[in-house]
Amino acid sequence: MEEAREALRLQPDNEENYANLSDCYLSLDRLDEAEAVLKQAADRKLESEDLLSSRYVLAFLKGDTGEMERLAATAASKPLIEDFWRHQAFMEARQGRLRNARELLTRPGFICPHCLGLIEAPFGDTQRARTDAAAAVEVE
Amino acid sequence: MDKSFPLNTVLQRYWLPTIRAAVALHRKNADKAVELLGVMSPHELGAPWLIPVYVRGQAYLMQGNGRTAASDFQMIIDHPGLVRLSVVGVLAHLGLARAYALQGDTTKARAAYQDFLTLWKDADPDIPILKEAKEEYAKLQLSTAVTLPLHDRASR
Repeated sequence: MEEAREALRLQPDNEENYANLSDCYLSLDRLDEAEAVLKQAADRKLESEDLLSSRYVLAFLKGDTGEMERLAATAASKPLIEDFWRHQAFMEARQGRLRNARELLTRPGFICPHCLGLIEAPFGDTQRARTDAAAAVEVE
Repeated sequence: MDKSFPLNTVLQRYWLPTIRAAVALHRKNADKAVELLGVMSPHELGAPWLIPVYVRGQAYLMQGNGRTAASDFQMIIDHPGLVRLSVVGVLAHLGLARAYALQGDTTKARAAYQDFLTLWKDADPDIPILKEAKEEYAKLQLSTAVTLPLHDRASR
């Protein structure tokens, strides 16, 4: 946390420093402070994939589904945003919609075999998780 | 992975022990799983998603140690900022339900099952762990229904 704060002080125009500091606050469930950091980045018109992801996680933790949908629409309008697709797939899996999660993770142009294994392993389908893990080892 | 990345702390202290523990659990060796995850204990809240805590909770369940298992699953539920979007955040409710059931606390078990089933109300119906949860909940409801008249009688 201290290092993230110091990095931001030294480089206030680096968007990743805002993402890192907000991430620290999110991990500690200090949502208001995370939101304030993200607002500072927005005030400076800074944008990045990490910042978008942090905003999505913040909206999720606040239970703000409207904001999550708005961010998803923003992400969809941009070229491939891998982290964001992963988040959406994880969100589907979190709600038990494994088929949707699988579809998101196997979209053309997006390959994340270890993500599939990560999602499927706790669902009790060990055979499928094993197949995905083998594919991940092969690809990576 | 172990040999290729001997200095990768996240791999060595997080993923590999967790994977090995999950394998031990799959082989029904809960003691080994708990032992393997011991390396995580000092920094278990520093790890994203708390997956090792979830696996350890499962190991305690397998050992029949409902109280310690409940403590692990509750830890996951109490730290949404660390768990974030991981499915473990939802499955912890099921783990908690099973842990309470193991302790014979049917009231808390029922509440935790309901939490889980509500969170997964729109889930794919063919997911094995969901089917198991529904069966366990139905059995719990049945056993409660059988014992309810006795409770009613006692309270009069």
